Amino acid sequence: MSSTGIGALGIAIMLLLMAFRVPIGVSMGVVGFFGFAYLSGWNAALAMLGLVPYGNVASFTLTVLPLFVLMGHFATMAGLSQELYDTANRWFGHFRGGLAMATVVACGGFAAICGSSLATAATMGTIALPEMRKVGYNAKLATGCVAAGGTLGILIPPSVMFLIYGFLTEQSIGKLFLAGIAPGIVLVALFVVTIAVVTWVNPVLGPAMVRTPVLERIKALRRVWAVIALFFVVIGGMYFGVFTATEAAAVGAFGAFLFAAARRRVTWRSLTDALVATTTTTAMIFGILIGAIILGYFMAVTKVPMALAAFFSRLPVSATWVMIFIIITYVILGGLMDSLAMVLLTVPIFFPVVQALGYDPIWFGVMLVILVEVGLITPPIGMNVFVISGMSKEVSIQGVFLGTSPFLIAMGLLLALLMLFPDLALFIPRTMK
Amino acid sequence: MGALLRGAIGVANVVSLLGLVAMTAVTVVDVAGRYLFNRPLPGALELSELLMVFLVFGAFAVTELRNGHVDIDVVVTKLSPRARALCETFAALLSTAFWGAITWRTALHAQNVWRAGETTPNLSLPIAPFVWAATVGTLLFTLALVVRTLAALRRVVRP
Repeated sequence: MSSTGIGALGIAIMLLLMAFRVPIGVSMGVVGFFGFAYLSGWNAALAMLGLVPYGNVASFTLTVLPLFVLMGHFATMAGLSQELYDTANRWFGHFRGGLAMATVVACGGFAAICGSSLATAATMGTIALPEMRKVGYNAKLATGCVAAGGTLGILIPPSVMFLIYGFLTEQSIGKLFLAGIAPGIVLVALFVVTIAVVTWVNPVLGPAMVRTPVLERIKALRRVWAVIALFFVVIGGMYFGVFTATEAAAVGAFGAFLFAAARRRVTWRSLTDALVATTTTTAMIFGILIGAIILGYFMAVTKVPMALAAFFSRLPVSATWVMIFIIITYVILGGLMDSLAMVLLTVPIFFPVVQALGYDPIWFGVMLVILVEVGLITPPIGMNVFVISGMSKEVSIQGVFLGTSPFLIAMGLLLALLMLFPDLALFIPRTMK
Repeated sequence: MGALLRGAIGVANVVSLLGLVAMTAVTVVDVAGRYLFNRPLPGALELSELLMVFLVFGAFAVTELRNGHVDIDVVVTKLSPRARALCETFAALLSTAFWGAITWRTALHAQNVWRAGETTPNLSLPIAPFVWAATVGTLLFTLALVVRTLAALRRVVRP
């Protein structure tokens, strides 16, 4: 059998293992180990097994990951999410579906200091869901907008997904983060429009609240200064070259901690909870990452990624069609797989294809992150939906999936916009030195 | 589960938390030193790398105890309880073997680093103790997986 054939067989076995609930990292690692041993010999494979875990953990590149996760947990501890939601409510509450609009806007705001979609959804969910239900919002709309809004966590910087993508493809973390800003803001706007349309068609879903006087609204803006300050220090610091990504993350985590302390919200319990949540999330990511890196060694010797890249670049269709094919593949995979596993598995395979077709690597990073967002709210596996339906006892998982479906149209629109105008993502990073 | 193993994992968890706190502190002090006092912390970069070892390897086992390692649950939920337990046993056994092999090879790597007397470039800290620490972390993870395997096996016999 050719080495490419062995590669394909390996992938098939790996998917089979995953289907039988072998942890994702182990599925990738076991197949990667045996495949690499078969093609390059046992000695090389055993040596790799000893070097990969320690070598990739004790590496400066990924120190940024736990620090950004910690920043998000400290921001939650400081109660910044509540302030964002209150302020957004004053501005949007009086519209039809206004509390749902406020929820997605507050999600966007929280995404600016939190790098994880699950954490953004969970944090905003605990605040926004009870408020919306209290005033009689439709449960599907309420849960759907939190699950969809939460996905903004990885598009608006900081973002764990951009970190992983940057690590895999050796792209600048700073540029990737900056490239997420404009599409992130556009997506928030598209979500607001989606809610406006949905509640215009059926006004019972989300009744309007009493209008807040303009003066009070402007006053309320001052309450979100902590979020703005953190975002400016962290992302601005990276933009102007004051900080490296790791430094920005550490300063951001420390700053969020100071806000929590100033608001007297640091207790022994809340502090250890935030720390443990950070270390276990990091360990979970590294558990998968180590497996994926071992699989990567195997894939490299099979030359599957290069063969695919050569195949696609020789196809008698335009690059746009190949990109559309890649997008459809991601939409399907995103429904079936965990988002992190999908990225770790597919980026090494698709990235050479994307490069061979002449697409900008930063632009593709943004497309990938939006596709991951889609995957987080599409069945059967949609982590954001699982989290939100776990929080809201009255809606089934299917109900939340239904609630998120209008937001998929908004995401599709954003993908189309980025295909037509790549500069939407690239104009900000281009100004960075 | 043995009280001893649970205790050891608890200690590893604390080491991991301290690693995270120290890593944040080292980086913040480095930045503050550079911009406020014009004196960066020497070797801050490699300190962060070494602290990552405690942070990540210390947290593997406790993440396993909390069921934090991701798997996909599509096919298996449709099976009978016994068949499901059989799948879980297989998955846990394969995980044990994988992380056991990593523990074995990491220990050998630690030995090599020790013999070669490798040190970090700036602070000249010996690297071997950190690789040993990593080995302890993967060993605890492997032992936690053994416990999971046995628990799943019990459910095969008596679902």
